[in-house]
Order: sequence, then structure tokens, then C-alpha cells
Amino acid sequence: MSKDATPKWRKDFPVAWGADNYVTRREFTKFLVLVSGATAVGNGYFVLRRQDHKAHPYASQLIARTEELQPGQVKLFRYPTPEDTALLVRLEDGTFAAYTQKCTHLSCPVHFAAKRSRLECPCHNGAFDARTGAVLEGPPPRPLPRITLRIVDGNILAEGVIGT
Amino acid sequence: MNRNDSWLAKIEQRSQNMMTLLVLVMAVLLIQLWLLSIALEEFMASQSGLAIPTFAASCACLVLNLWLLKYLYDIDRKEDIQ
Repeated sequence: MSKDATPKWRKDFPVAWGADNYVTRREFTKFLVLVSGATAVGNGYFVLRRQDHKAHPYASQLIARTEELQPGQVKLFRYPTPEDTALLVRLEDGTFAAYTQKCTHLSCPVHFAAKRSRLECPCHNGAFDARTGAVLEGPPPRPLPRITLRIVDGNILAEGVIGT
Repeated sequence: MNRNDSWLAKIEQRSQNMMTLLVLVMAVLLIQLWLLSIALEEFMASQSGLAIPTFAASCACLVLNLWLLKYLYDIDRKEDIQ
């Protein structure tokens, strides 16, 4: 067969059908089952890591004296790094709690609403329990990271962060 | 119905089976991705109450998908024999 006898469609599509790189439904289904296995392995990873929820240790830092705050008052401080703002809250029963100030939704700074005894995010009306950091309402998907405290001789020390 | 029509009907039936199988596998995989996102959220919140249940459910989904895959291989084997 001379070169000129080659039909035009063959010139336009010179790749043979068998060499074409298309994916059949069968191959795609097999690939999805492989992804399914990988997803199950991913879930297994969280089972293995479920004991790793201890507080992340950071250097101990003096953040306030107990007499500085009256019940319902709040103090801003920075922990664990100078870039991380945090809130120290004295609850109505006199106990202290501290949380990082970043909302777990979109990182807006939360503030303490003393009347309702909760931490509120003004951006999307999220609210957290001041005692536990748990989400009370709004879009935040997780509790506020809690800063562990230790009181020694009237000094309030920050010692780690749970839930970063 | 002549022989050609019968053959075409068979091909169409197989194609429908294949598509049904693909949709089922995709649906089960979507459930698994949802379970994975739950486990991730739990982990980020330093909680672990749902880690084992989501893993167990994900494994059940994987078994279901493997069973569907076996069905796919059975179809192929049947076609080879015919």
C-alpha cells in the first residue's frame, strides 16, 4: 500500500486502539477497592495513635498570680510561643482554666463572656464551655486546645497544651 | 428474538452489572472517607472514643468492597469460559 493510500482518519489518529491509554470501568473499580484498603489502613493509624493524647510538653511559664484575677475576670498571655495568644480565666467557683485563643473553626480570637461563663467567637458565633473547652454551639468542629496549669505558692504556671 | 439480538441483550446486561458494581464500590468508598474524616476530627480534638468503631466500620466496608471485587472477577471468569 502506498503512503498516499493511508486514510485521513488514520493520519489524524495515529495511535492504535490497543495502545490508547484509557481506563476501563473494571480497572477503575479495582483502583477504587485499592483506595478503600488504603482508607481502612488510615483509620487503623488513628487506632494506633489513640493513646498519644498526653499534653504536649512545653517549658513551664509563670503567667499570673492567683490574686491578680477575681472570679469572672480574664487575663491574656502568650503560650507556648510569643506568637500564640491564650486566655487565663477565673471561673465563678474560683478555679482557673486556660485555653489558646484561636477558635478551632477559622482561627478567629475568642473572648470570655463572663455572664454566660463561656468563650465566644465573634466571627461565626461559635461558643465553648469555659470549664472544659467543649463546643457549645456554632461551627467549631473541635474543643479549644486547653493549657494545663499548676499553682505553686500562688503562682499560676502554664505547663503544656492538650488538643493542639 | 434472533441470535444477534440475544447477544446484544447479554452485552447490555453485563454492562449494567458492571455499572451497578462500580456505583456500589464508589458509595462504600464514600462512606469510608466519611468515617476517616470522623476519626481525624476526633484525633485533632485529642479524643479517641470513636477511633475503634470507625476502624471496625471501615474494615467492614473494605470486606464488602473485596466481596464486590470478587464478584467482578467471577464475571470476567464466566466470560472467559463462554
